[in-house]
Amino acid sequence: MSLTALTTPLHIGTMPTRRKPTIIPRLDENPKLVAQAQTTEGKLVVIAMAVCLLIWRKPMPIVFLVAVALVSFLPAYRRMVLAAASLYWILTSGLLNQAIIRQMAAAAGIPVSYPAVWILSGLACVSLVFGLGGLSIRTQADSFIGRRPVLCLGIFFCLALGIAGTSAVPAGVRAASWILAAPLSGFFWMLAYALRDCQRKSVSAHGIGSMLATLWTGTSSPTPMLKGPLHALKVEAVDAREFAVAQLKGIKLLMWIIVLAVISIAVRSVLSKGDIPTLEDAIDRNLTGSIPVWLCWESLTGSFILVVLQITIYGHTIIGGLRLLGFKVLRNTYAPFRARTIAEFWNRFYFYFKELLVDHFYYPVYLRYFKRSPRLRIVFATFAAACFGNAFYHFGRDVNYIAQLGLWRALTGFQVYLFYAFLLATGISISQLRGKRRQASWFRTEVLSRVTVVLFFCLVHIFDDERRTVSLGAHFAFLFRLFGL
Amino acid sequence: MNVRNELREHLQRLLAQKGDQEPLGDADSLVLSGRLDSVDILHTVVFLESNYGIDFADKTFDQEDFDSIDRILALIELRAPAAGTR
Repeated sequence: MSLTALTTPLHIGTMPTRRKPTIIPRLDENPKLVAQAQTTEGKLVVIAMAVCLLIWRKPMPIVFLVAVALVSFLPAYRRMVLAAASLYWILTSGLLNQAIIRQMAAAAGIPVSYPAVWILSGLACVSLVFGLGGLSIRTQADSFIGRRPVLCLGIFFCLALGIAGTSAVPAGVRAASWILAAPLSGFFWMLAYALRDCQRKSVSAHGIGSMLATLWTGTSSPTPMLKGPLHALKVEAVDAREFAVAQLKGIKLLMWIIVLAVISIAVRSVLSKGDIPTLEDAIDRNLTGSIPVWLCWESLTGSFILVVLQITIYGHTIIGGLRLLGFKVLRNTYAPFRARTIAEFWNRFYFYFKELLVDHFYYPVYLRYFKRSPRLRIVFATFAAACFGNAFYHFGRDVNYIAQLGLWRALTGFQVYLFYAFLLATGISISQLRGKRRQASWFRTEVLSRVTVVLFFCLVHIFDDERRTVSLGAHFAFLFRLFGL
Repeated sequence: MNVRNELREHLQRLLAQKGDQEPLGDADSLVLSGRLDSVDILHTVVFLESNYGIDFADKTFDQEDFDSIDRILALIELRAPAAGTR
């Protein structure tokens, strides 16, 4: 169906059967509301609600709201609007890491104070890598780069990062490597998805524009929540009714954010009034002196709850925004505490990060190796994704540590997160090998399995520390302290 | 039992394990709608490997090829032409 069909309002359907009440009303399931949201007045109300629900954000996402208004009233120009807005977001998101390039260039005696120079050079590098990768796939499909473009991208990125972070390399060469490595760090996974799509079909510029719309928030992330241009095209609303439903679902998520933000403020208030330290502070204090066991538990529990709330709010913000732009995308976080297995929790907690690891590490390994040994096949693929892929993602994302500490110290300081990734992979492997067993009693199925899963993630959270200055031993000392050791 | 029915039975078993008792049409979305996740796709990969001898290692893998019964059947047709004779 053409995009102009977005202007054709559809008829009102029947009311759904009565269902149990929810905190946020099911706006998208009410046929009258869906029909009204397709009218001019309805669209104005949706935009007004979006403004009210996002007014608390600093800075207020004016460009995003203008884009929502334009795609609502000018659906025929939707992709053009998205492409223009995406370009704006790319330039302002900070994902090009222009500050690092400027700092490293200045250290090499190339002081350029205009940020636009580094923004444009970063954009040129990302475009050049994508152009060369896409061209190789098209013209040399049977070559190594044509068959494994994402692997080649990874090798190229690692080489650039290795040169950039090695102090023995001349400063000018290092600065040149940073010009390549820093913007690639922010856009690595978007490029990976786009190159993967190039292998399948021709990737249209409209699709790329839509995909980059994930950058709309101030909390830009290198984890794409539209998994490539083809995925963006598949999940975009194709008629006025789908567009209205997507927008109402977006409003629902933005309402959820308000509820979760209130809970988050309440938790922070309780932690603050009880003088309960943050997890990082508690780990540090445990090294310098004795900290009561109960305070360690409170700190860990509070930190874990806040992280779950933070990731949920963050994901809802991006997915809510994408839905307001007319993309029918799944939530990033969906009721993680309902999970009965470790693998299920991970799937529910940070869906798009898990998808990134599954798409680029799990599937390629699972489909190629140990086919005759099913259990080893699962474990090997799980470690490739949850351990190696997870560590690679975080090390490549946080290139600021390499700029500050140098490659070697950044690597050795990464031991804590590496251990976290190892624990996570071990837990998920065991969870997958065990599968969903039939439990004998309600207590074991509904209570014990869920408590065990939450306890696992809560304890593993001790090592989910992205600081590079605290040793693994300090984290183990905190773990032992929890049990009075 | 023909391929379509075998496949439907396999997918319905996966959905039932997740508590999903909704009807399953041939064109119904499974992956993009979130009814099946990546672990379920892996079970389906193993099902296709063992039942129809399909090797996914040599081609670009796209989990959205598993989005509906129709799309999986098209995949089987493309990669295991002998499947239709079962």
